[in-house]
Amino acid sequence: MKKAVRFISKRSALLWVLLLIAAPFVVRNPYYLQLLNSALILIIVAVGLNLLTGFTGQISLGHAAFVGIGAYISAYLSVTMGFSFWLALPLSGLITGLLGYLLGRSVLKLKGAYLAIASIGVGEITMLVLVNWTKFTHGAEGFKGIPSPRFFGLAINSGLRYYWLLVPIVITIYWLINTLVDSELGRALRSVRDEETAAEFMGVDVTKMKVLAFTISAVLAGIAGSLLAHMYGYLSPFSFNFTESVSYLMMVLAGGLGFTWGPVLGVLLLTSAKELFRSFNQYQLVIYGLMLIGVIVFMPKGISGFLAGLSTRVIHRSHDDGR
Amino acid sequence: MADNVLETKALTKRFGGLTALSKFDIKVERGSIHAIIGPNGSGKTTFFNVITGLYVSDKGRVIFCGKDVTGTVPHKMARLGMGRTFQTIFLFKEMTVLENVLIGLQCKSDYNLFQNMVTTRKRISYEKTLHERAEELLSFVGLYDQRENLARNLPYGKQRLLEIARAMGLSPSIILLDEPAAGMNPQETIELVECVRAIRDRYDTTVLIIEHNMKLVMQLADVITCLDHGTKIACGLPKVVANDPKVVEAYLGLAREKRPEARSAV
Amino acid sequence: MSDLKIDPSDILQVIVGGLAIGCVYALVALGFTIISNALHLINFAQGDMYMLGAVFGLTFFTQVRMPYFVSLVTAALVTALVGVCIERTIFRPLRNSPPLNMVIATIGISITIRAVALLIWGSQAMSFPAVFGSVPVKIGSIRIMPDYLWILGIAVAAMVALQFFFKKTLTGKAMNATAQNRNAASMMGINIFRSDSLAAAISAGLGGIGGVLVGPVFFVETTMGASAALKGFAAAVLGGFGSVPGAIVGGVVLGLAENLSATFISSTYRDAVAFVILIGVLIFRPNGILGKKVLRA
Repeated sequence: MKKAVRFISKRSALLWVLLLIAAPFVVRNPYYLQLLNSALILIIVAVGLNLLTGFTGQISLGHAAFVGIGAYISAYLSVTMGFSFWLALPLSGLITGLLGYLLGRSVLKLKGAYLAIASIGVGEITMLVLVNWTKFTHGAEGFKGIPSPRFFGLAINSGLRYYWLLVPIVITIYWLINTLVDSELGRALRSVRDEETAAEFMGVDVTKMKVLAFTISAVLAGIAGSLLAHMYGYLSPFSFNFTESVSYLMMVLAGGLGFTWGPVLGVLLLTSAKELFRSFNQYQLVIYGLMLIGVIVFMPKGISGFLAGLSTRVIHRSHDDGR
Repeated sequence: MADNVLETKALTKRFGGLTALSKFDIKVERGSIHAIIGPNGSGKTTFFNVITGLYVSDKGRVIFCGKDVTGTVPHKMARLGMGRTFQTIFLFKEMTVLENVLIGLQCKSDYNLFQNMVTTRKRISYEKTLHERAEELLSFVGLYDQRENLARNLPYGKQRLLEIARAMGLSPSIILLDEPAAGMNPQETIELVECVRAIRDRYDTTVLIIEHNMKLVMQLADVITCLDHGTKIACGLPKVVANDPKVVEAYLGLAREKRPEARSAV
Repeated sequence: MSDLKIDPSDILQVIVGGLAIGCVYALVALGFTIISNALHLINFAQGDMYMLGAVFGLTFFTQVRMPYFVSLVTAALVTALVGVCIERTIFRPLRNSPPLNMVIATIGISITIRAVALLIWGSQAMSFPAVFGSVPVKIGSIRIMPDYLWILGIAVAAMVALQFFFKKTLTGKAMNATAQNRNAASMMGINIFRSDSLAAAISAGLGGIGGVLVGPVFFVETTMGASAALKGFAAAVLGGFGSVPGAIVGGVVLGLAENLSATFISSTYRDAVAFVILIGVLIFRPNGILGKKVLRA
């Protein structure tokens, strides 16, 4: 039934955790390990975006801005102000979340395509700021020398070590967000997605819900940004652009909007696709655009939706003889 | 002095040049089934939208359970105990039947973020209570078997009942039904009548109902108010209002408007 | 850089320039409005129609060596054709999907078109050879580049033709009817599918005309669609989204505002003007200047 596929069942959660633990033993190549690390960070962004778009129905095409803000704040805090990574990480999340909250309160009054356009604008302006506010961000030349996190004196500066840093973070985030979705708050968010007006009449403070989802997704994006910054050690303002924001949305879409495992499946799919088409570098963007169209026309519910559809059909058949 | 659940004083609402409601006074007694009738465009749904707070009135007051609630936003009105259904069905389509009802039941919650991100014993028992109450409401409207089904999979008549169950989740003092019988077949209409009576009798909820189906109205209503072009033209006992020449004129006066009795077939 | 010495003829020049570019924005805005009224969607790829018009126009003019005016018409027609193809293959099947899906689809279309154009024409900025000569025309005490006069002339002609089409021709009136009430129009015997395709063709074509007009004045590059989309959309919203005269008014006002602020305030943030106007209107006056009343729900 839909319910089993949408929310976490203990079995599938265990399966994913086992896969996560086994992965670095199977994947030895440092290049692929690094890929896995970026995928894990993207999953964090995707979980937030799934909460906002998949569960609350609000579209954002500017989320790269939040990731960028989180990244630069973390870089600034750790390099210019000498904070430890362990302080910079949560602070980046919180400050980005605060900015998201303030922005959300004005922008979320807009609906549908208007909100999408406003979010694009926000993304563009943020990138402009990142490029031009050189005092803080070092501008177009990029922010260099971001230190690796240190864990009791051990520098987390290899792919493998970073992997083990990311895994518990991703698991915790996934767990918290999915408990949230399963709760009454999650129901309220989904009611906003399904029928905003009716939700209002059923006692749901729609604006508050939208802003809440937006803020949480901003916090997660900020955390992801911080993790990115300390992983690469270097930031370029141009990497937090519109195409990047679109790719986030595409990941959530391809995985399945509003499905628990959507973010994971979507990120895996897109990362693999990118790798596969790496040799067709020139055509990458074309393939990308076509994929976006293809998914929305042929598989609007993403992989998860497709799988859910299959399982419902199977279950209905077996229940044909009276429930 | 009767105890009025809802009272409006000189309620007026204008949209640009059009006056949808004009100095509308109504007194809805607690425990009554009060029907609002009138030709299309007479302001009935606008009235619902104003008292629930979707529209802000230009003039006049809305008094609910003795408190002046003029201008209160819809979600607060819901928490205060005003439930409603809609002319077009606005169910939460991608949610299950049960979840639709749970939304109403949750209305008093403060939606604390941190409490909802962790599974505590308190939360588990809270959810259990909510589920039980939801199942009770679903049994009341006869939808208990469908509780795991997605709302959009229900047949039309059952969707309408679900809307009612959902609104009842608010434990409302008054429930506003906007053309609940529209599109129902005769059998479903009979079930609806029983349902509405039970809402009043079992749940002590006052009912304010907009309907075009005059047979239904005559069966159910204790009091009828008739609107025409935003003004109240009659109010009183069903038999009196039904025979009021002004009411008859309002319905027949519009050349293309079918007579009220015939509309129930739609 | 702001000019402190303000010469009246300078101001007139800026105004004429603003009007001209405003007319181009109006064309793009009209494209947004028409396709939105007909298909109830906001076409993110509209800016790329503008770009296609420019690159096709350039190709026809320089490679195929057609006269400018012929290049313009041909480019507009080809762009219109692209618009129809998109409507048939993508918009039609998605008619009944949630609006979110449509938004994403048009973004995908925009990305694809831009990527394909990039492959064909490359990423370098290309310049349109001077079409009308580089001698400014003297009108009274002001000197205006002939290009601007042409832009004004052709854009106005296009807008007049459009109004004529909608108000006086049967097909145009049929399109209006379809936009207002699809079912009723269909029952009256109007071929609503043809109406849809026509709307897509017209809106793409208008965008394309805008692109070709602008070609000789600015550079042509495959990325020019993004800012055109933003400005066209801002113009449409400013004038009142959904209103055809609104799109024109919005475009002209935006063009003037942009030119005036670029000259007298700062030219670096020229592109930000459109964005500020857009956000401002959306938050403070969503109905725009001439807009129809939009219900909150």
